[in-house]
Amino acid sequence: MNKRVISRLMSYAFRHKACFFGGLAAIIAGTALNMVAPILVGRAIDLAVYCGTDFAMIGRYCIIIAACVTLSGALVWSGNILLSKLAFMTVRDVRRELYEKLLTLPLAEIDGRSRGDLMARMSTFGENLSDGLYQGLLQLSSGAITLAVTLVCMYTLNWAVATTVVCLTPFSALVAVMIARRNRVSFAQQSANMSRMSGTAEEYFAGSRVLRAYGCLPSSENDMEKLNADLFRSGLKSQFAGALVNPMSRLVNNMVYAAVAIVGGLFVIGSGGWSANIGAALTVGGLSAFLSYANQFARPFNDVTSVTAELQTASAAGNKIFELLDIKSEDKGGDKLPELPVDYIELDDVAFSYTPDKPFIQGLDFRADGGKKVAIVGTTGSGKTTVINLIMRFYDVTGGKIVYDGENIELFTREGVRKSFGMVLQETWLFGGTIKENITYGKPDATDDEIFAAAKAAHLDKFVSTLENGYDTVISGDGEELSEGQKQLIAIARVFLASPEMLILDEATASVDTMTERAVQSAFAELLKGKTTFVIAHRLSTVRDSDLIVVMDAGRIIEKGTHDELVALGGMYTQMLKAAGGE
Amino acid sequence: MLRLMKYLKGYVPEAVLAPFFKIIEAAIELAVPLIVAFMIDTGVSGGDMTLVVVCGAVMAGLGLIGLGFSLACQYLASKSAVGFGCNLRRALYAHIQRMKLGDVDRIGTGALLSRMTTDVAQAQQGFAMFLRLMLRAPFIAAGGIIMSAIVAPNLWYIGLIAGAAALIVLIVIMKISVPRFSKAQARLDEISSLTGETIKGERVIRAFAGEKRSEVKFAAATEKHSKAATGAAVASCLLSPLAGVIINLAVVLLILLGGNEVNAGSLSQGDLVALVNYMSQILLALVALSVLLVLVSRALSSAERLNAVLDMPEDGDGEGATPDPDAPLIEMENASFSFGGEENAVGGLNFTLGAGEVLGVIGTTGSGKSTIAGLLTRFYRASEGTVKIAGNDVGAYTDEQLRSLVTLAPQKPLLFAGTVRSNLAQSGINDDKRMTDALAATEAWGFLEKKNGLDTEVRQKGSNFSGGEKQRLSLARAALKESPVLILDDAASALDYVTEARVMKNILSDKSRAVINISQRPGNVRHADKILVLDGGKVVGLGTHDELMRSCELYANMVVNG
Repeated sequence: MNKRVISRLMSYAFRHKACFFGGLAAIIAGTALNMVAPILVGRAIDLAVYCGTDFAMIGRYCIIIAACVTLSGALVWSGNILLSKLAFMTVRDVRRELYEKLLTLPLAEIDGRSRGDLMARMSTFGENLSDGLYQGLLQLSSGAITLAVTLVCMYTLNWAVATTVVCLTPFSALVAVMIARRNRVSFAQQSANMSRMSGTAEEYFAGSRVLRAYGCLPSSENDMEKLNADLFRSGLKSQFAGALVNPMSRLVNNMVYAAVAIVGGLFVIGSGGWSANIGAALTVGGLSAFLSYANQFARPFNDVTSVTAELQTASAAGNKIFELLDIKSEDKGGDKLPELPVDYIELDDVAFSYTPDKPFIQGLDFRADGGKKVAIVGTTGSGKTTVINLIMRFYDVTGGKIVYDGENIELFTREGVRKSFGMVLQETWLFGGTIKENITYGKPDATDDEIFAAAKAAHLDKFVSTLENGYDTVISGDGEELSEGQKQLIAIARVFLASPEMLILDEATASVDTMTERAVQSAFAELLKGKTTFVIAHRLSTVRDSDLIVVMDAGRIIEKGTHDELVALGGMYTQMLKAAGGE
Repeated sequence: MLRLMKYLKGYVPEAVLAPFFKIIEAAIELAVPLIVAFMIDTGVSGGDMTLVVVCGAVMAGLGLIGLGFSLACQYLASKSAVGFGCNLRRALYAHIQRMKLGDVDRIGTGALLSRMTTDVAQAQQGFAMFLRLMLRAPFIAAGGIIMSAIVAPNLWYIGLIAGAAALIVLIVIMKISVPRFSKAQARLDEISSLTGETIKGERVIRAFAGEKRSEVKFAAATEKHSKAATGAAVASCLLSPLAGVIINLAVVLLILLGGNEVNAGSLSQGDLVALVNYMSQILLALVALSVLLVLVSRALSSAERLNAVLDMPEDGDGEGATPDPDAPLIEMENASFSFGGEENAVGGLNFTLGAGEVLGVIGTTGSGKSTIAGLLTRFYRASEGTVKIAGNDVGAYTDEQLRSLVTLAPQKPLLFAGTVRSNLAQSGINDDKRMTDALAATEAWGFLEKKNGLDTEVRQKGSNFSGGEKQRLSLARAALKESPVLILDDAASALDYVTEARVMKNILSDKSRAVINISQRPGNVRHADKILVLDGGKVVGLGTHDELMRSCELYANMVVNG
């Protein structure tokens, strides 16, 4: 268990002091009251047994007991509510911070992790954290107070029997610790196997089409079966280890119970003589109270051990969450804002690599003048998209510099740089909401007329008009119900509406058919007028009119120039042109 | 949950024996207060110290025997629950991979994954708890009521009323809290999907400075979850304190009325102590039950979700048929398909294709190009007309037969963790030389050679390769598979023209197959024997490049503007 994680979690919990202390106070008071009840019951029994005629007195005790347990119940309930509220509000805060983190992490951190992993930290691990916090506070506080009040009450009743019980305490604690240790080991194993299974299942579900088409379902089932077999072994171990807690604590209870019965019984017998002489007389009611305490004696230890498992999980989960929170957020960049419109953007001997030992982009030199269109073409994996990542400051150059009007872009805020661009990417991003909300993402205050105009320009209007709810049609987060092309048109309409100073089109129309693309291109031409644009495209017809075409291969610039210059050169660009025509 | 019990197969004896042992242990526990009563009445009252010690020793002995039974139960219960979970997971996986692809797409990978992981785990845990505690608790409670009636026949109703009241409270609270728990779960799912969405859109969100808006949306979702979860806790946390109050009131009643009886001599001191003991046993049993409330209700809602998936129809297998070597490899007669709406996703497909022929398919966005691939692979079934492969309806073949006849290279290249070799081996070909050749033909050997060749590691979903590299590997896998029909569903769309042209030429050089080449690029299909032009789900042209240039305006337009 990681103390640092726990204390950090506590610092979040402390933000809700009212719930925290109110909940603890209610639990402690309620539990304490509840633990006093057996003594009162014992007294009432004594009254009934020894002087059964005093009905008024018995009645009075009964009323006190009833009031006591009712109040205790109310307190415990409200304590539970407050502590759950605390746990849920705390995890809410943690989640919000984590979410904020997700939006500010350097993109390298996000690209380097699987989506499933990040999502698990948010949902599953978040749940573990709130479970741990709630159970931890509840069990530890009620366990501690139960133990304390039990001891006090027992000593009030009879010091000798109480001491007998105290002598048995190490036995209880030992059993509890042993079980906790066993739990810890098997739990770690089980969760490792579980995450292996989950990773494989994710991949196999995503790849369902291929598995089916290639008749690989049986072999995928074999793979799953192997993982399943591992899960059976480790699952049995951890399940059984967890199942030991109750029987073992019942054993402790029963042993304490038997000991109390014997010792208590002897002291009741001796009450007329020897036990009274050592100040340890005991009544039948007192014995009954002792037996009640004995019946629950293992509970506090049990609570503490069961909560260790819970805290174990929470601590592991917290570790994962805080690890992410501790990654340094992307810096703000500089503190200046670029002055728009930018006269020129220049890449000066830019170098970059994703991993330090493998240089990727090297010696990148080109200049994009204001209002001009720069196309970057090249084979798959030649580094085109990486260049865009650098220009947008999603990644930072590892050598050379990128310059806006003579000033290194590192002087500008990242947000400022990004905001100056509109982008349509190869992989369209839509979020759960209406089509309208998706279109207005770059300009939330757009009027309906502006929206319709943008949609028309992006050739989206025809498709939307076929939908029953038109622009108010709700689409799911991944837009499964739309084709790739339709999704891309929405993204294009989004950029149209935002109408930013500069544009980046990274395979913007890759999934749109030629006809639609043609139409969108003419609209793009309108949009691009007078704007600095970076275009990445496979379809060379869409880059022909560029002011500068940069041809890349394996992270380097092979050639650059206008279409005509490159054709005259007869190099790689010419080769690509030939292939495109299908000749 | 009951319906899931068929997955208990192989672990039934354990599942039956476990509660049985647990009940024996519970019975032993119920005997203890009787011994206490005897000890007080005979031993303590009679001043017989030896008897007191003997009684105590008997109690301790019973405790040890109880432990034995209890451990046996825990082991058997664990074994059967874990076995149940594994059976369930196995069946679920097999079922999901046999469900109709339309349903799989609709539910989504994320949801299916959480069925496989969280839901199975919760059902398993719930079942284990059921075996271990759900039976024990009512047994102890009922036993406690009966024993208290035996000890004090005149006061039989007190235990009964208390037990019944507590049971009613239990049921009512369960009824209230279960729907609240599922509501909280639904809110949690929202948080999950928002997170997934955000991670996917990092670049766009940052480019449009949408961080604040996303945060507001997320804050609202977390607020809702926190409220819903607290709401569930308010209901479920009431059980244990309320049960405590009820039982303690019963104790009070016992003392009030029992005091009289003791006085009248019809009840002994020991009996009174035993009665109080039974009440506290009933209470502890009910409290244990309340701890289970959360687990079991989670298990129930998981079971509901699992059943919903398990109830989805599987895509049935064909009876089996023998391919006719003389029939054309592919024959579509007036074939149509609709996703359930009024409009056909694609309709009026009429063509035949023999070995060595290539059919190019081209069309506007959403024109139904990929649906043709779905019809031939039987991912979708024709809603009208017939789709035949080698003389038989696609529905007639068994899965195995169909897979040996038809190969698909999908638009989204799907690779699996392992090595390049293990991915290519999915084609059924294990020969290194042929693998290398296929990779060379799809221009993938170049980037693999620099790494570890066929042994190059492939990470989950091929995440260590770029989109274009993945497509080339996926094409190599398709090219390797020895099936007479090959469908390339926009399978080279991430490649640049130069690479694509070379790759396509290499793949199409194998003349033994019938190839359907679906593409967005006219240049890619122009040399096909026939070209099918689709527009909005309808066929607007079918013919060679030259014919279409004359007769099909849409096609001519695409070519000129390509």
